[in-house]
Formats: sequence, structure tokens, C-alpha cells
Amino acid sequence: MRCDAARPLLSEGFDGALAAHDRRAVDEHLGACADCAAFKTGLARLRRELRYEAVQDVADVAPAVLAQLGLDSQRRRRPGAPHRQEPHGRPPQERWPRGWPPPRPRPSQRQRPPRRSRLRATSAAAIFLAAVIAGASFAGLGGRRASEVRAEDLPQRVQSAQSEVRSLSAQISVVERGWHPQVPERRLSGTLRYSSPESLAVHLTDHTDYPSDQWVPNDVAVVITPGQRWSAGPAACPREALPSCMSPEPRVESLRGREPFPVLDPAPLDLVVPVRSFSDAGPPEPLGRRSVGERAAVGVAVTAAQADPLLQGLRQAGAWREIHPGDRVELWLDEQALVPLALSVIPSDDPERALWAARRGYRDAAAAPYLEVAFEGVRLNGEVPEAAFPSPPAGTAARDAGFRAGSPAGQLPAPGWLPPGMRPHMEGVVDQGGEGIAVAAWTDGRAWVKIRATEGWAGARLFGDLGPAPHRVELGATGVAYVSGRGHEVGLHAEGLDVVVVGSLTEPALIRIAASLGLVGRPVPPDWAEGGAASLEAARRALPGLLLPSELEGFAPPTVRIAGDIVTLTFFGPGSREFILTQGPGDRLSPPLDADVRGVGVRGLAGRYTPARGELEWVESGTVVSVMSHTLSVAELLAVAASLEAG
Amino acid sequence: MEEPDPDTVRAAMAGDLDAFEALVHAYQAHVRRFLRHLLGDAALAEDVTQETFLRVYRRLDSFGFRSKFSTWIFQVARNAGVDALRARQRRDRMAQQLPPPRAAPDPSGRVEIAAALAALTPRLREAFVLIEVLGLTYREAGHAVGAPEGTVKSRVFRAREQLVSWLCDAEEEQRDAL
Repeated sequence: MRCDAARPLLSEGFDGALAAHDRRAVDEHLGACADCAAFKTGLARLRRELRYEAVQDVADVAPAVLAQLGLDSQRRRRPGAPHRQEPHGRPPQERWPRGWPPPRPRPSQRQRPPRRSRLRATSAAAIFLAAVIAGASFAGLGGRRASEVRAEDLPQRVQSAQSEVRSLSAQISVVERGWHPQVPERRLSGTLRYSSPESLAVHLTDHTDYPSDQWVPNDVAVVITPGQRWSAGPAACPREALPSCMSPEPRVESLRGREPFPVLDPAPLDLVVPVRSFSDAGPPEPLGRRSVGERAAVGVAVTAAQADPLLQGLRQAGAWREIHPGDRVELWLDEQALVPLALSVIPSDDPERALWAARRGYRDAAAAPYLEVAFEGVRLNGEVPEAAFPSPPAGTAARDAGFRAGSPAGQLPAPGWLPPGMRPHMEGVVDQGGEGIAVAAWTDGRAWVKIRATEGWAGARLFGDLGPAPHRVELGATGVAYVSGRGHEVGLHAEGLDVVVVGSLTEPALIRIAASLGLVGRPVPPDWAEGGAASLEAARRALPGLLLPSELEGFAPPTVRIAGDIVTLTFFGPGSREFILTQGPGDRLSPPLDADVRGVGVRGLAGRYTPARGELEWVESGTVVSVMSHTLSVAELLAVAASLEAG
Repeated sequence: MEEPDPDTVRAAMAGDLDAFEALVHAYQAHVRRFLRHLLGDAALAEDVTQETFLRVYRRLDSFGFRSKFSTWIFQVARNAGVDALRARQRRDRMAQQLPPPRAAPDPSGRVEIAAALAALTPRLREAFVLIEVLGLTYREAGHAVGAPEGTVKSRVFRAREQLVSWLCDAEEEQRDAL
């Protein structure tokens, strides 16, 4: 196939399914033609740039149009037209035809807000969320194509929605089931307050009726303000020992000298706009539109692994049950501001999940939510008083993370470029008894970026917590940089200075900032942990017949490590989904290290699965292959295995 | 794109202004977005959005359920957009095909996209915007612009060729500048 035939097919393929034979022919051509591959990349980029549109308040032309028509109709009334007498008298819900999305209510039309159910002392028989979604009108999926487009848009829209939320205040309600056999259901309620860029306070009060006074209510508080963070809640203790192991004194942790946007212990900002829960996603499964409370919401379904940043936001302190990473999370986001309004976690029907639950003593009913969270009374960009972020309880000893605000004294390179709207937020030095780390952070009110730099970094691995398998990018004149698997961190190893750029921006933006620092990034020395990073071509040469997954969606190209004739490929996907594919010559598996091992059929061969390591192994044509993951279920690992092809 | 309840459309055709208002609320965002990209001018797009719905009301008689309502609305919007462009052209006597300005590389990339879009001929631009930005099918877009499916497909491809080529050039310039 020649380029002039391939390119129109590429264009057509971007708009919908190509016939299978066309797709194969195009893929083959792409394999050999760098120009057409570049064209395809250009198409993808064009699509990303165009779908990236900030959420705005939509102006309403209806009044002007109607006014104009009113003038017209005074001159000439349409036969049979009902004369428009009562202005905005009846509430909207009564007028619109069923199944038709109601318009955004205008202030003059607002009646009493729909009844919102309050948590009652007796547990509700009905699904909790249904009680919260009063007057819900499910607008359905319309044309399938429409909702596909919206679901694809969502990650970019969430990214761009970041700058629209300056503050948020909401009531939270939580229902958790299955925490303990004697406590089948727990109900908590509280508040969420947020003030950009990084002040967050979550307070939850436990309303559950426990069987006895021995049980300590799960009253939880987490408060984060510039430079400080504290949390309080009952210490978790082993399930088998409940309730006697519970201490009546809450565990209080307090930290000062907290640098802005710390990577290791970030503020759960995904509670406000779930950027990280989507930033790596392939198109999430759409659930349509519906009203949650008074607000129009768009729903998506993702896995718990993907929504982990959001879920962990509520569980920063206190004693909670576990969530399986493969479980389904149905998430409803406000259609305009893309803040979470409701979510439920539903067990997946993966047989491995059943084992996981059995081992922990959970008896989750199939297809029934075991965790439901609702955000009600959401007020955006209103005033959030300082009292919303209280200080830690008196007498709490605070740990010091070592950050001191001030001028980083020239150690920090200044970025030559930042996205528009970014202003300096905080800067200073983190002193952890060694070389100081200079830190500077910028924010546009919600999105943020931070640069950390240090001299005399001893090495052995890249500075900046880039994770186990960063990949290398060429910056042309400014050398090389390393990007973490998640794409949130970009590291530079320069002469006498090691720098990392981290933020809630897109990977290209972070790379661009790193490239603008006026530094030349050098490749890491070969004896560093990242020194073995290689290319797929080198991997193919090291191991002919290298197996590669053929049907992955939403996963970035793998990071490659070669050690002799063993090739390790690490694939990062949406949320925290990742897996490691290792292959090397051999004709049998090594003896199992764990007692808990299951035989499974893999690609028609006998393999084994070790749940404790999340590892699936088998031998195929003289190669020992392993697929390992802590966030994918065994069914997903088997699917990955089934899709492997010699690439 | 969601289709309205046929009863609502019929009510609007019969002169029910409340039903018509529901239609305005449902489609104004899509129409505005389409016109914004088609005209390359947010203020003008605002005016033409209003004009579109005025025309929709006045021409409801001619709708007749022969096509999808959403497609028909885009037809009206597109014609209103073309009329506005011609009026402005007559007024300003400015050539429609301006090369994209390359002087200041824009970090977000969006000014470049808008400029590149503006440099397409209106036929290529409208087809591309309907497919890429609004997610219509080739057939729906064909109805909206009055051309066969195959023509729309080829216009979208040609638009993409030009846009990708301009963006690559712009990117090279940016990299040299960095």
C-alpha cells in the first residue's frame, strides 16, 4: 500500500471503524513508513488540541431570540399558537417531556429545591444513592456515538476544568458496607472544604449504631493548609481483633514544614477535580447524563485502581474496609465543573476477586455497591472561611518535613516558559540534613507545577521519585530528560544539578517546562538504576521473537530494560494500572516461592498464578514468560497473555 | 448528538414557544461551538447563533422530519454562518485565505490551531469541524452541508492534511526558538 492510499484511510479510521482488511493494510504500511506514522501522530495531536476546551458558563441566547420572536409575534401570530400568558409560572420539571434533558433553571424560575433525603437513624432499604438523587431524570445515552464522544472528551475536559474551581464546599455522605461481620453497614457524614490551590479539609462524623461501646466511631479529620497537614482518626487494627484492639484515643498525626504539593503525600485534590483519576485514561465507559440533586451530571465507570486517587482522598485517616483494585467505580461528575457529585463502588465478578474477598472475610453481595459517597449542597467558588481549616488539636506533637519558605538562593533554575496564568505560589528550601533541596511552585489557582533542584545528588538512581521505570525523551539541544511512567514527573540530570519538574499539567507541558530551564540534561550513568533503559529494537535484538501485547488500550508504550538476554517491559496504563512483562530463554519455571499457587491454562499451555505476587508465568517455545501486576486481576492478566504476539 | 422528543419538535412547529425554548437550550452550545470554529470569531459566532435560532423558528414548517433534527439545525447554522461570512467579506473585502500567523508561538497551541483552521477554505473547514469537533457521522455532516458522504470524507481528509502540515511547521519553528 502506498502513502497516498494509506493516508485517506488513516483519516477515515480516525472517525470510525475501518474494514478489517483496510486496517491491517494500513498498520502494515505504518510499520514501514515513518512519514505516515508522523501523520498519524499529527492527527492524534490535532484531535487532542481541539477537544481541549475549557468548561465555560454557556451564555443563553434564548431570551434574546424569544424577545425578537415576541416582537414578531405581536405583528403576526402563528395560527393555533398558544398565547404565551403566564411568564415562567410552573416549575420546569412539569413542563418538559419525559426523557428530555431539562434546561438549566433560570433564577426567576427556581422553585423550592427538590427534596433531599437526609440520613436517617434507620438504614434505608433502597439503594442509598437513589435516595440522594431526588427527582432524578435519566437522559439516557442518546445516540451511542454522542456519549462515546463525551466519554473521550472527559479526560481532557477534566484537565482543563482545573482552573475553574477556586473553592468548593460540600456535604459528604458515606455508606460503607461489609467492614465487619458485626457491623454490616456504616454511615458517616461530614464536610469537604477546598480553597485553591492546595487547602483542603475533610471532616467525617460516624453515625453508625455499633453493637457495643467497645467500638470506636470512625470520626475522621484531615486538614491541609500551606506548609502544614494534620489528620485524626481511629487507628486501624486487624479485623480479627476488632473491637478489642481499638483504642479510644484517636491517632493524631501532624506535619509542619510541608513543602507545596509534596509528591509522596499529596493532598487528595482529586476529591475536587479528579485529574489524576483520569489523566492517563483511555476513554472511560460512559454512563450517560442524569441529575444528582440539583445539578446535571455526567457519569463514567472506571476501575477502583483508576479512581484510586479519589477513593484514597476520603480514607486518609481512620479505619476503613479494603477496596479491590478491579472493582467497578461509577462516578458522577458535575457536567459543568466536573467535580464529583456521587460515586459507588461495586464488586467485580472476577473469580479472583471472590478469592480476595473470601480471604479477608468480606461477603459483598454481587452487583451491589459496598461503598457509596455523595457530595451534596456543592457550592463552587464561594467564600470558604479560614475557620474551615482548623489547626490541629492542642498538644499535638508535629513532625517536621523540613521545608522553610524563603528564597532558594539561586540554586533553582528559572523556567523559561510556563503555561499562561501560572503565578508563583511558594518557594523555599527543604533541609533534611544534607544537601538542601530548592523548591519553587506555581499555580494558576488550581493546576500546579513545581520544580525541585539539588546540587551534589549522589545518584544510584534519578532524583525526584520518577518511579521504577521512567522513559527517556530527547529534547534536542537541551539534551535528554526522563519521564516517570505516570507522566507526572520529568527529571533532568544536568552538570552539577539534578532537577525534577512535577505537576498536574499534561506530560508535554511538563517536558516543555523542563526543556526551558536552560539546562542540558545528560543521560544517566550506566550504573544508575535507570541506566539500563533501552529501546524496543534493542530488546528485539536481544530476544528474537519478543512477545508484545497486541490489544492494549490506554497504555503508554512500555519502558524497556534489558539484562543479558532477559527483557523486562513495564506498561503503565490508566489510573494506577500497570503490569510488567518479563521474558527470557528457559524451558521450565523455577519452583514456586509461595505456598499459594494455582495452575492456570495460559495460551493453551500449563502455567501458574501466584496471587500474593500477582504474577502469571508460563513457558512457551523455549521462553519463560511472566506477566505481573498488583492492580490488574488475573482475568486481565490472562487477557494480556492471550493477546501477546511476536512483535 | 442527542435527538429531541418528536413531540417537542411538533409542539414547537405548532407555535409553542416553551417547546421551542427547550430546543434552543438543547442545541445552542453545539451550534455556538460549530460556528465559533467555522467563523473563527467568537463575537460573530454569538450573533450568528442567535440568527440561527431565529431562522430555525421561522423555518420549522419546512423541517418535516425528513432528516435528523440535529442535522437540520446544523444545516441552518451552516447557512447562517456562510451568509454572515459573505456579508463580512462584502463589507471588508478581505481575502478568506490568510496564511496562519507564525510570529508568536503560542504555548497552549490553541491560537495556532485557530489560525490554521482559519486558513482552510470554508468548505474544508465546515466539514472538518462537524466531524472532528462535533462528532457527526459523514452522512449527518453530508446532510448538514448539502454534499454526499464521500465528498465530506475527502474534504475532512484534505483539511487534516493541511492542518497537520501547518502544525508540524509551527512546531519546528517553536523548537528552534526554544
